[in-house]
Amino acid sequence: MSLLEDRYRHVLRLLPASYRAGREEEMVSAFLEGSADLSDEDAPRPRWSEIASVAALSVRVRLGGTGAAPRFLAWGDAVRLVAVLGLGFSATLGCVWFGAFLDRYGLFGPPSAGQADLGPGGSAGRLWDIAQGFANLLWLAAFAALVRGRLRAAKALVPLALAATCAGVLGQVATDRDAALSGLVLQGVLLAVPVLALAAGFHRDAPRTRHPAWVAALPAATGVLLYGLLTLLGVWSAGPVADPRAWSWVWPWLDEPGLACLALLAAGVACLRRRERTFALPMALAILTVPVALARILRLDPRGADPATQTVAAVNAGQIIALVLCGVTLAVLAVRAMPARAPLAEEGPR
Amino acid sequence: MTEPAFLVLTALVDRPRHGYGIVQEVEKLSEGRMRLKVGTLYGVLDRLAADELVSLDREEVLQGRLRRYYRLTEHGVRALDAEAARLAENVRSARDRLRDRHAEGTA
Repeated sequence: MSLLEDRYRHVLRLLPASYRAGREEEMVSAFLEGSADLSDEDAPRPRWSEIASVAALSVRVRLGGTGAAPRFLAWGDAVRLVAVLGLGFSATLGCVWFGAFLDRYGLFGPPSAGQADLGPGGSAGRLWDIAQGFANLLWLAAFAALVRGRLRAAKALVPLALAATCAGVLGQVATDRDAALSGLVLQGVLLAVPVLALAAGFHRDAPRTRHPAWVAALPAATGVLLYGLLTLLGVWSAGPVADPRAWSWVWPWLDEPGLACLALLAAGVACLRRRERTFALPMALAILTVPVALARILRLDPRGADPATQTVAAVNAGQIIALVLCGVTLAVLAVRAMPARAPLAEEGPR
Repeated sequence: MTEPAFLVLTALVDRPRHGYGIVQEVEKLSEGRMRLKVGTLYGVLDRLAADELVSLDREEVLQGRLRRYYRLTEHGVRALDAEAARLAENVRSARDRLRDRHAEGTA
């Protein structure tokens, strides 16, 4: 076996064993015929483009679509669900931030005092703020495109939404550099998994699903309700009789990781109570607990100087433990419901 | 239909070909513009086989190397024919409009 063949076979290990059983020999043959002029003295390696093509094939096979082996289809469905749920959450929050933007401009009452700092109408600061406000809706547009089966539009909108989110966070660099950088890391941790799931799971062979229009509007409706609830809680917590120690039990549930934690724990409990045992939903929720727990760990500050911050830290630690327990339980549940491995001949290429 | 899938089907019109044979033919058909990577080729072949546009013709072992030859199915011939007609219609429309534009420019 030549050095190049050995190295190429090593690259092919990226593919599932069942796929390799059916395809490895002819792939090696096709590859070596195209590299016939290379000898071991040249210390040849497969080009990065060849490795990338095998990696892409591996993702497509492992996250199978219609007609794939049941186990690969189940993994594919789970990853696609991660993308849908993650984007749905971002879309809901985008609607909340859009509501806050409208509120700042006086749509629901007098405009907030900070608006004067943005400069007069038509100034660059004002236009940037308005653009940022409307950019919050990009996640909703991306989610709607995804669930309505417009994959290309969804994949084009997500980078825009990501860029807008990052630009919004980086906009704070001038005023608070540390907070801006920590916000950027937090957004990166929370958004990376659903965005990667979108890119990997919704490949060309993924089943084309077109959900009803009401599914696309769900984050908007949830966002409106959540905005109303957060506004009410904000008013109550700022009231003259509000006890900071009591509210310190509530606040950790109201930031982005807190809301994500609450949503995941609620969905996890609902999933555990379901009689029907499937792989995709519990595995998708288990996958999503990882970035949310990480995001919570990033914000964890156990050095609270006063009772209220100590309570917040304790609740944060409790959230992390609950997320880990929930994630492990859901993963076990999913693995138990995983379709049986098919014989190699059935799982391999057709 | 993607361009690689279209070119793979076109490469199989005259006779069955094996993996590297398809890569070479696609490169020739595209005048060197497209050189399929092996991972990409088999991704395309999987998809075309799943859609029953190509099927396995025969296997050969040459100098210890496995060669699988793929051929176009009747369904594949019809699909390629339809896609070629669609692309030809698009080309005709583009050419007509460009001719009109050039004619307006010189008028």
